[in-house]
This record gives sequence, C-alpha cells and structure tokens, in this order.
Amino acid sequence: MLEVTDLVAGYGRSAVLRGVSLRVPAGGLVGLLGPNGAGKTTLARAISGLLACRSGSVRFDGRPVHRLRAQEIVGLGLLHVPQGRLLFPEMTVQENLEMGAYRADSRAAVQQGFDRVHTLFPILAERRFQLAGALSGGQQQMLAIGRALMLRPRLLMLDEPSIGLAPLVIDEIFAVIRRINAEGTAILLAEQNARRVLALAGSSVILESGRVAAEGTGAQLLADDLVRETYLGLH
Amino acid sequence: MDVSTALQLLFSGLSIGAIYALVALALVIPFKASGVLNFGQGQMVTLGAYIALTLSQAGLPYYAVVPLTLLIAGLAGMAIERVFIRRLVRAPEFTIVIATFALGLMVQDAIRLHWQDNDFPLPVPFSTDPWRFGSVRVNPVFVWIVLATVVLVVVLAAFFRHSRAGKAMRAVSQNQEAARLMGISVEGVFSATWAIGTAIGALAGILFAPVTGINPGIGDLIIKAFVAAVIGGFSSLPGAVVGGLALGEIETFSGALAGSTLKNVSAFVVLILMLLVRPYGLFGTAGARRV
Ligand SMILES: Nc1ncnc2c1ncn2[C@@H]1O[C@H](COP(=O)(O)OP(=O)(O)OP(=O)(O)O)[C@@H](O)[C@H]1O
Ligand SMILES: [Mg+2]
Repeated sequence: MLEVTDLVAGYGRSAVLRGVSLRVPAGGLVGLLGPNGAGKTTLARAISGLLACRSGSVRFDGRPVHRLRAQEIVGLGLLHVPQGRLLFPEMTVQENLEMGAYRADSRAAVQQGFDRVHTLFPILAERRFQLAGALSGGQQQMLAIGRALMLRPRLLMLDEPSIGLAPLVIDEIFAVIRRINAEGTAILLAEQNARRVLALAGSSVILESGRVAAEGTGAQLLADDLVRETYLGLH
Repeated sequence: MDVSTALQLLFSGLSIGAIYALVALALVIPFKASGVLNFGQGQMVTLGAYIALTLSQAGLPYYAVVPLTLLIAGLAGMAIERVFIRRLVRAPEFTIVIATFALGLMVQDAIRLHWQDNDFPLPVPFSTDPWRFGSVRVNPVFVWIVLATVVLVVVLAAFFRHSRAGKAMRAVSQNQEAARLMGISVEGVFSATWAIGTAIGALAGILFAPVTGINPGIGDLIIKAFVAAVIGGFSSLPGAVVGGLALGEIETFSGALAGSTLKNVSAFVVLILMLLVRPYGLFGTAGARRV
C-alpha cells in the first residue's frame, strides 16, 4: 500500500535520510524504530509532503506521491499525526475535529467522523467545548489522533504518540491504535518505545543515521543480539 | 463641558475610532494568517477611495459603488499576494517590510500622477444635514460609518466563528503545518486574507471619504491604525476594534480639551504608555510572530 524506495531528504544542504526503503502492506502495522535523531520524523514528514524529497520515490497504492503537496496527499487517505501533535491550541476540541474533516464531501461524513472518534475517545466528547491548548498531554494526543481519523484514513502515520505520557495513558493509546488497525486502517508507527512497538507491529524497520539498519518481525529483531543491544537498547 | 457637548464628542470619537478599527483589522487579519505585515495597507485605503471615486464618476449609484469597490479591492489584494508576497514568504523579514512599503508608495504615486493633489467629494445617497436630538447634533455620515462598521464586525465575527473558510483561516494562523495536514490550502488562505484585508481597507476609504474628501493622503491614517492595532495586541481582532475605538475617543477628547496640537500627539503618547505598561497590548500574548 505504501512503498518508499531509496528516499533521500533533509534540511538545508545536509541529507538526513540517505536512501531509505520500506513498505507498509494494506491493513498492516509497521513499526519505525531508532534512536534520537535517526530520521523517523524526517521520514514521516517526507512521506506526508511537508518536506520535499530530493530523490527516490514514495508510492501510495502504486501511485507516486512524492511530488504532491501535503494537502493533496491527505486527500488520498494518507494521514500524518505529527510529533508534538500540532493541534490548533486556540480552537475547541470540536473545532479541531472539524478541521480533521475539512475535506469532507457531506455533512453525513462529518457526523460519522464525530461518532467514530467519540466512540474511540469518549473523553473528547465530554471535552468538546474546551480549548485544545487546555487539555492534558494524553487528551491532546487523543485529539491529534482523532483529528486524523475523522475521514476514515486508509493509512495512518503516527509519530511518537507515546512521548511524554504516563504508562496508563500509553496503554490506552496503544489499545486504540490496535483497534484502528483491526478495523482495517494500515499504520506506520514511529516510536522510541521499542518493546511496545515490537509487541504490536507485524514487522518493524530500525533507522539509524538516516539508513535502514535492520528490519524484520519482532521475534526476528529480538533474536538478534546485536540489534537488541545496539539499536533497541534492550538486554 | 456640558453633557450635550460630551455626547457629541463621544459620538464623533466613536466614528473616527470606527475607521481606525477597520484599518487596524485590515492590518491584523492578513498578518495573523500569513505573518506578513502590510506596510502598504494605508495606500490600500487610498486605492479603495479612488476606485469608489472612479465608479461613482462613471455614474454608478452609491449602493453599487460600495460592493463593487470592495470586490475590486479584494481582487487587487489577492493579486498582490499572489504576484509579490508569495515569492517573498521565505525572504528575510526586512525585505518583506520594504517590499510592502514600496508597493504602497507605487500605488500612491500612480494615483497622484493621475489625479494630482486635488480633493474630490464622494457623493452619498442621503442628506448630510445634521440630525438634532435636543441640543445634540449628529452628522448622518458619522452614523453611517458606525453602522457599517458594526455590520462588518458582526459579519467578520460570524465568519471566523462559524464558517468553514473562516475556521480554516484561524487554523492556518495557529499552525501552518497542521493546517496542511488537514488538507487546507495554506496558499489559498493567504490570498483570501489579503483579499479580506484590502477590501476592509477600501471600505474604510469609502466611509472616510465624505469626511475628508478624497485626496492621495487619505491613507495616512494608517499610522493611527498601527497604534490601534498595537493597543489591541496586534494578534487579536477584538483587540484591534477596541484599540481603534479607544484611540478615536482619546484623540477627540484630548483635542477638545487641550487643542489640536495635543490631539495629534495623543495617539503616540498612548502608544508609548501602552508599550511601557502592557508591551503585548490589551488583548495580546507574548507569542507574537514575524515582523
Ligand atoms: N528542522 C530541522 N532543521 C535542521 N535539521 C533538523 C531539523 N529537524 C531535524 N533535524 C535533524 O535531522 C536529524 C533527524 O531528526 P529527526 O527529527 O528526523 O529524528 P527522529 O528519529 O525523529 O528523532 P526523535 O526520536 O528525537 O524524534 C537530526 O540530526 C536532527 O538534528
Ligand atoms: Mg522524531
């Protein structure tokens, strides 16, 4: 469904990604692991069109999307929940969700989106008239994910959804990620939290200094001592 | 000062304040969305007045001149954003400041070349004889200014609060990248806010024209609009309105009490006091952006 081939991208003159390839199959859940500064966020931004690709290609359903602008890529059903959430802090929870449905073609579609998001995150229904900036960290992350779910994305890219959250909140968010995936949305999950991702993902890719250092299923990666110690920090 | 004089001053302060408020809104709306402050906004007011003059001299009635002028000015603003500003968004801030400033001067000089420094009247479709309420005299032109401003502010508030496009503009002003990730065309929002800004500036020009006459200097009130916007915090639309009205009243009353010299400096006294006491204005927050 998503196919990234030899992707090179970066900021200014220096390339951060130096030829990255990965695939996310339809309905799959792929983990994207790697230490601080490995290039996970850069990869997500290049895929969603926030950052220009210098060479290589990104295909979504076989269609090249690396020349499209971010707002066009969204229309294809490839949604990006960015690191740091990037909510609209001075808009209410409801307005943030409405922005998630900005491209909706009917009121019914917007209503369906609200129903779905409120089922997944009941707290967002309760808080609908609060400003997004006034929510707790966990609620903000839920809102960021909910906003991307409004129009039934076909592939969801999540960038460090667990960062800075308490373990119980992380449990809740990962449970929702599992559920969204079970309902048919493919997921690319960038995280530093290797243990949790390996338990959830069908396969994972480990980035290191802008290159793919290792890839495989959780079991394969955990069976490799070098990978465990060097890249995953597990002993 | 007796009550009727005070009421009369209050009302003329309100109407001049309404003009300041409009031009302050015209500055703040595109600034909030695109981060670019249009230093040529004063000349957009002038341009609006001359578009109205041209349409009026072509024989169109006032009620057709007003919407047509707003439309033409809006399209001009959109064109300016597309042709000049968009290419400069990544340029250093000072470059953008100079560019908008230069553009304004070019517009003003073009107007001066064609119409010279004459004063033209803009006819209004109602009698300008003052209305009397007891000993208070009210100029219908001022009533029209206040009325039109109130309507515009209410329409704008509803637009930003309830419409899809208005919410998209707020979204862009709060987080551009996130707005893109929602599928919002940030470039489209930039042009739209420039269109709205120049259209509001043109409305101010039309409303102000019967008071001062149309001449190439009509847009000089931009200085007052800057002060009004600063009083309001520069990032708040209600702030721009309140700042404009407050400035109008302060000027009018200081002029009446202490003569016209004080009237002219009062705006700057207020500005300096404001910056000393509340650097972010009445409604502002510390997170002000470019320029
Ligand atoms: N806006 C930017 N401008 C310049 N360099 C950047 C920018 N953002 C990131 N970088 C650099 O790109 C490299 C990769 O950063 P990136 O954010 O993609 O890593 P990451 O894997 O997401 O890390 P983290 O786990 O901390 O989120 C780093 O060396 C970083 O310093
Ligand atoms: Mg990151």
